[in-house]
Amino acid sequence: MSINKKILRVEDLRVYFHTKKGDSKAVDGNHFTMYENETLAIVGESGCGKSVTAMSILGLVSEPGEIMPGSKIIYMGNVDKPEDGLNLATATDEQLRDVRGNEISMIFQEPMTSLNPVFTVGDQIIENITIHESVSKEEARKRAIDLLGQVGISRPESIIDNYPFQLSGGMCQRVMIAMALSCNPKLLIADEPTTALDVTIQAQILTLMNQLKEKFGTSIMLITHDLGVVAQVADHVNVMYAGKVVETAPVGELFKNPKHPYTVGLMHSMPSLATEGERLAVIKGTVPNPLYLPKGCHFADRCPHVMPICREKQPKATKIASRHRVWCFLYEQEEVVQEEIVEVEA
Amino acid sequence: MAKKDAVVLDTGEKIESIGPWAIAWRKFKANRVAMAGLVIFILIILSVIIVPMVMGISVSDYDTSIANQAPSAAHLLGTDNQGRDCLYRLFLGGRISIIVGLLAALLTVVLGCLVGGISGYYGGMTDNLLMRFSEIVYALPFTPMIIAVAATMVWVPQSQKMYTVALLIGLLSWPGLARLVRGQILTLREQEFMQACTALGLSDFSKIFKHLLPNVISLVIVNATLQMASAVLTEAGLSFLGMGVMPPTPSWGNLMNLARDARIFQYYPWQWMPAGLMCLLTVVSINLVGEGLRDAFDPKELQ
Amino acid sequence: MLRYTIKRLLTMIPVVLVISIMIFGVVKAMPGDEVTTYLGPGSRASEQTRMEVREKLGLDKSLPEQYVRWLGRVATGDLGTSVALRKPVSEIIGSYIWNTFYLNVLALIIALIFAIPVGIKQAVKKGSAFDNFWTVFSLLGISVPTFFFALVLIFYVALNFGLPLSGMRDTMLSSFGYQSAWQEFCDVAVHSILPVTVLAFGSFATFSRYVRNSMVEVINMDYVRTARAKGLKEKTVIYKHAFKNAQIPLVTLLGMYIPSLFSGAVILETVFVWPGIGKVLIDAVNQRDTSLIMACLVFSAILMILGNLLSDLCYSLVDPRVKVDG
Repeated sequence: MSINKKILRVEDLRVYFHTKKGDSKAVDGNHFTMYENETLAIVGESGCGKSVTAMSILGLVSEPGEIMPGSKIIYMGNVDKPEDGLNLATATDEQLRDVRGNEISMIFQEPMTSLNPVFTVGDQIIENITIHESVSKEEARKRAIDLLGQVGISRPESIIDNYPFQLSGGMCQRVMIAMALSCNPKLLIADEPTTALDVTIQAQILTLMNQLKEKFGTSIMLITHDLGVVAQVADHVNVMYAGKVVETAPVGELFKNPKHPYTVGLMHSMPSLATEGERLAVIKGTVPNPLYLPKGCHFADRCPHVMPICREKQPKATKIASRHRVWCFLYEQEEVVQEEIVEVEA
Repeated sequence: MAKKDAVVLDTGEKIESIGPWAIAWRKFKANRVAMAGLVIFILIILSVIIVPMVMGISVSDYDTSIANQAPSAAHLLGTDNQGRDCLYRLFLGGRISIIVGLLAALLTVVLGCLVGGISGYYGGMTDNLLMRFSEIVYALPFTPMIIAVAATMVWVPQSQKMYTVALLIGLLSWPGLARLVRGQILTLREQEFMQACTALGLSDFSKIFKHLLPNVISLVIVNATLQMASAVLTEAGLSFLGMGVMPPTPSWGNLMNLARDARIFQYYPWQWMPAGLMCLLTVVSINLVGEGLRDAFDPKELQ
Repeated sequence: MLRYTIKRLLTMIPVVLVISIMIFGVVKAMPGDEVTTYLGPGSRASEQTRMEVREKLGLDKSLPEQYVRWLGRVATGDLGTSVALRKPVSEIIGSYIWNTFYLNVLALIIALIFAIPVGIKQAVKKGSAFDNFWTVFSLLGISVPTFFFALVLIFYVALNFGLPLSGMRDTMLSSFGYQSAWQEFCDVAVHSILPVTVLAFGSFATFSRYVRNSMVEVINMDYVRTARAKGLKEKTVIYKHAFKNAQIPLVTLLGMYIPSLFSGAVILETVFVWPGIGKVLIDAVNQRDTSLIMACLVFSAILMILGNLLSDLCYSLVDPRVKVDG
């Protein structure tokens, strides 16, 4: 897997929402890398900045939010010089529009409200094709029908003329996926794509996404708060807490050997992973308000192993194993090989 | 109700527990435009009450020797064709116009709530009949109808005309509100707390008025405010046509009616223009308050 | 759709009947005597003549009988005769209605041309100086008494710039006949400037507020974000994806509005002495011209009900989620 090409590198991403009370730091110094053909899961509690991170990749953060200067979202998929990449944080509107829906596409949490109620699903898919490729309407329609078939919709040639309100939530999400894949994107961002759906439909959609990943060679960034979903489909996991990634590891490694106290806490609070008969563990306290982020480690207030240094400084990346890094002073102190983020990428 | 204390977290964050009225009031206060409207409206109310009182003249005073004088120190807004002080008549007229507006809005609200409430609560045949009836009233052409009905009511003494105007506006304005209230009650009726009321054996009266209507109250308050604004406008229009409040009782509408006399219109604008400006200012301020209230009660607009 | 429309039209009939009875009652309750109107003011006709006129106008019958006779005539297409103008009511309405329609349509078109883009831009830039300016502007539009605005315009504009103060045509020109169609057009156009301005200002205020509010509702919807995520231009996102949803309530309102284009703005037409339906009505009320009042009021009521029907139909046309069925 490590031989795969990188397609997206996020460095020091800061997204602040300028409110009357001050800057709300939804994402504060986030960093991670995505590889081709890989499903990367981003896990974390609600409000930890998962969705905002995803939105900022497509430049969809709207007022009063701002991607702060110095943030880097380097897209290295299908650009002229892959080595340099295109910094989406500073790209022009036109560059962004070329990427959106074409190179990187996105599906959202609420399939029913994410489709425009006054256009047929066909029109919405066809629109996505015709704005990025110069194809005739008929050809685009043929492709749309084909896509609807591929995402497991039966009778696609009649469903294509339906309005979203005539379809179920699961069907709508399939339509969203078909639309997202219509221009063979390099990267598909799925923001909690199954949260609003029934459990049985959830499994179907996840399986479908994995199949399509294999078929189209699309990388998937899956945003979720559900570790069960992560275990089911992800290759690699980023655990986010209060605006930044605190641990990153291949999925098997993470479940076997979680390092960050927050990751450990998450694992223990999950019913299926906790030992039977044992009470579910609870992470004490609440997520810090993004308006008042602490100076040191953001998790310090809730951490069972908190040390004085945790309140003073931000921890650096510590390598645990191949592609397994943790940002925590517990492991820095143990003097495990320590390196800069840049070296991690190399 | 005891005031609950605010909880202050050590991070400096404040968490308070407050009721829906307090939330609405806080949102309203934060809305500077709405607050400005409220202040203006209160000033207008106070001035129409106080100014005529302190000036110490009576409606029937006149002095033709000083007719049609331009504004001066003695008569800040000049005098009319019978030598009456225009400033006095302006504020007295404002009193009448606002009273008409208030009464009309009140009547609209009472009728609208009554019809809408009964209709929504009982449903079935009652609902059907009442809604048909409100459809009929709704279809009556508003201004022409009031004009026609006002023309039939010649037996009302001139000094009582203002009440007729308020009555007519109210009688023709309620269907819109009745529909809103009915719709709201239909949805509320299906909710669990109404079953709880039935289980407790409450009477229909107390169910409707104590448990349903309070849930509709924000809707009603907003509507009443906007209704009042439009009633003030309607009164002005009717009196302007000479079919509403009749002189010598002044109202903003019949003061503007003076402008239909070409000579007054062109040469003595102080006799009609201030009334129009005051009327405009009043309606703007009421509308600002109404919209501020609507935003304040809107649960979608949190903060 | 057709079945639904027919069904709605049929249910209109009893409503209109009840309304016409109510209106009939009101008209008959008006003080004053039609016979006097018929004979003209100051007529010294003998009691004998008065009786004859009474009989001729059918006023000697009981009220229910008079109503039934009125209804019977209306059913055959005869709206009666105006006693004051001595002309068939249908002819009067037929000639004045186009003056009203012309004024209203012109004002509506002008209002919409400005209101839609302004409302959309306000919603896009919610809270900006642009938004605040137009919010205040349209608030003035709904708060100002129309006749007061008209008077102020006449006072400051017409008197100073020599625009005609009232009427639809120049009296001299129209009585001696226009030299050319162009001259007639210019004459009417000049006379329309002020009334159209006043009407358009009011409609602009109503519609721009409507557009703004419904755009604000949809502009933060998930599907607008989806449209952006597709890589559409911001213009397409706003004007196609967002506005297509925001126009649903707008079209509904327009449907309601269209029939009222034929019913006159009483006060405005009075101020500008515009020869429209509203002016006809108020004159009829002042002269106790029974048949004319009846016809005007019932006509307005029917327009109102048609407006409701049309708005429901429009709703089902623009919103695919709404299906009307018989």
